Amino acid sequence: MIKFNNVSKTYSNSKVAVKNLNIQVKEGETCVLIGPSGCGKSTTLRMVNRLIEPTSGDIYINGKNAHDITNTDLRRNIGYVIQEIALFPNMTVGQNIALVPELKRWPKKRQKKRVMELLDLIGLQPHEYINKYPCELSGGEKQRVGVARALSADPPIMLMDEPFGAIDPITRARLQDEFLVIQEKIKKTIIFVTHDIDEAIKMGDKIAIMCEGKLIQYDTPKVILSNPRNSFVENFIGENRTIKWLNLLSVEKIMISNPPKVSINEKVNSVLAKMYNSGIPYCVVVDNSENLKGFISQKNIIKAKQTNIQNYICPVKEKLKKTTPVAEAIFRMFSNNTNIFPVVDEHDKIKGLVTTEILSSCVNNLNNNPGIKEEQSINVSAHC
Amino acid sequence: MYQLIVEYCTSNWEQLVDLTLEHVIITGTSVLLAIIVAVPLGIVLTNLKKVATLIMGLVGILQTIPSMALLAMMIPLFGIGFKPTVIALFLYALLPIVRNTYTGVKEVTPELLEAAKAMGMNRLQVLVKVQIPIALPVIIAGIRTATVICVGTAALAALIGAGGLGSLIYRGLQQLVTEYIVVGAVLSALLALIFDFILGVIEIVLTPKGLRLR
Ligand SMILES: Nc1ncnc2c1ncn2[C@@H]1O[C@H](COP(=O)(O)OP(=O)(O)O)[C@@H](O)[C@H]1O
Ligand SMILES: [Mg+2]
Repeated sequence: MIKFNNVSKTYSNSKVAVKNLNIQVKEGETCVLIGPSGCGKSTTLRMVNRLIEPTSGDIYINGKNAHDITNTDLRRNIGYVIQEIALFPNMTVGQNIALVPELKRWPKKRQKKRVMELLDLIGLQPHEYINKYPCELSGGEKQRVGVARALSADPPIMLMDEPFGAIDPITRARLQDEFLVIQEKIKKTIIFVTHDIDEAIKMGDKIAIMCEGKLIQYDTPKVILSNPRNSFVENFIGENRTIKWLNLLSVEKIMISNPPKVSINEKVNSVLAKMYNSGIPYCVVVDNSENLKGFISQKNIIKAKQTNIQNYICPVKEKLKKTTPVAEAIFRMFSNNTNIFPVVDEHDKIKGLVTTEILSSCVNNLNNNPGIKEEQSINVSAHC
Repeated sequence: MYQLIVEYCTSNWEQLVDLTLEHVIITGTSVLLAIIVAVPLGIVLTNLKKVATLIMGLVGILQTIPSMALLAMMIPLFGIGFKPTVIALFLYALLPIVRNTYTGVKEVTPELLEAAKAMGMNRLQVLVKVQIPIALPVIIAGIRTATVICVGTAALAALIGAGGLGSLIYRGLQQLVTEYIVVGAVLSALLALIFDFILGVIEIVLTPKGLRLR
């Protein structure tokens, strides 16, 4: 966990780069810092690994004040990826990746094993790439190696400063997707800087919108898009918001997570009790070997005459992956004529539910918010 | 003429070898001393921006003094012979090495330095693992320049009794024997070429492979 407590930074030329920042990033979450150029994103990021010291305020890392940790200890346990990538040209890909493990004096064998593992993770053939030099790599490959280098000593925290900023749009989209898959496995606590709102929506669990050193809004992508705090945020989100949002937001971010699970043999009363206890008006029904059988919604059983739930189960028409965009979920809901979808992870394990109500509320939220109407002229000079 | 030269060489080859060796020793000692001083100086200067301009300026001024004048200045200060010669050549060799070390180390981009720092490297590790390897080809190029300058200037140093191939040229000038002059000049030029070639090979060998491929 990373916590900024009233953090400010004034540079020696009396430029105030960050003003009274309070942000908390939960473990395993990605917080995206976004804002116009010069708003203090990089400064914020670099205060975490103390490349820059805050002028006032404190940064806590897993409850420990960063100021009380020695620079080397702090930095060797925080991965750092920058736009310029900055692979060392005199070292091979393998040597670049093994740098922090080398500094931590891991045995050579363990270093090598880790390098192979990471090359595999980032999708580069280990034997082919380990002895290449940075100058022999394409931009996308370099950036992958940059990510692998930052991950090498398995740091719990990653700082990424516009990591895909200098890469062509197609490769960038691919790297973003790959990174999301990797993050799914490694669950790092990430602070990710970007100036691209689409990237922020795609990568972030939370988005922090900054302007002139101040935090303007810190919320989930969903809330930012549906309830922009002021005209600056609105302006920053840009045009075609509804469609952009529906296309970028994955169902994972809007789904009902961890719905109560009931066995196919349970009675209506106990199912209702589970719904009340969880506060979720839906249940997932599984058979004795944990196979998904269907769903029950509260409104279907609340006036049930029978005690068995069998007759109230809606069948599973189709499953959605967590990464499915909301727009696609809406389309599939109509074409399947169903009103409930399970959301599964890459191991086909159920992670949540998406219902018609949720999807229509997504669309309605956007349309009912006057600030988000497409036709509305945007105040380009909107100020924070 | 050609015959005279061949005749002179065949009958005096032992003396020629001695003179060449002397020349090599004078040049080698001066350049080695210059490397020992100039490389660390260049590295230290990269951390002291203001002082760097001043020191590089001073070293630059040394270079503008005509070699004859610099050699002559050595006599009242250090007398004649090997020592004052080496001192003069050493001063001459400083600039190219300091300048190249400084530029080479400085050329490592701020992003690379930041990446190194962000990985938890200390100053020494950054220097040894990143800055010096990347600067090495440029530093050696400076040493090459210095060596070639010194081989040439050492020929003039016979003026203050340094010995070496220069003394042969001087004898030729005094006694008006063309063979001496030609042989001395050719051997000294050859020496410069050989040094340059050897250092060129060293430069290639010591350049990190990742930089050579560029
Ligand atoms: N070392 C520095 N000295 C003085 N001002 C700086 C320094 N670094 C950044 N700034 C200024 O602080 C502000 C924030 O910079 P930065 O955090 O890099 O912004 P961002 O990453 O959001 O583009 C900018 O106005 C920038 O010019
Ligand atoms: Mg920046």
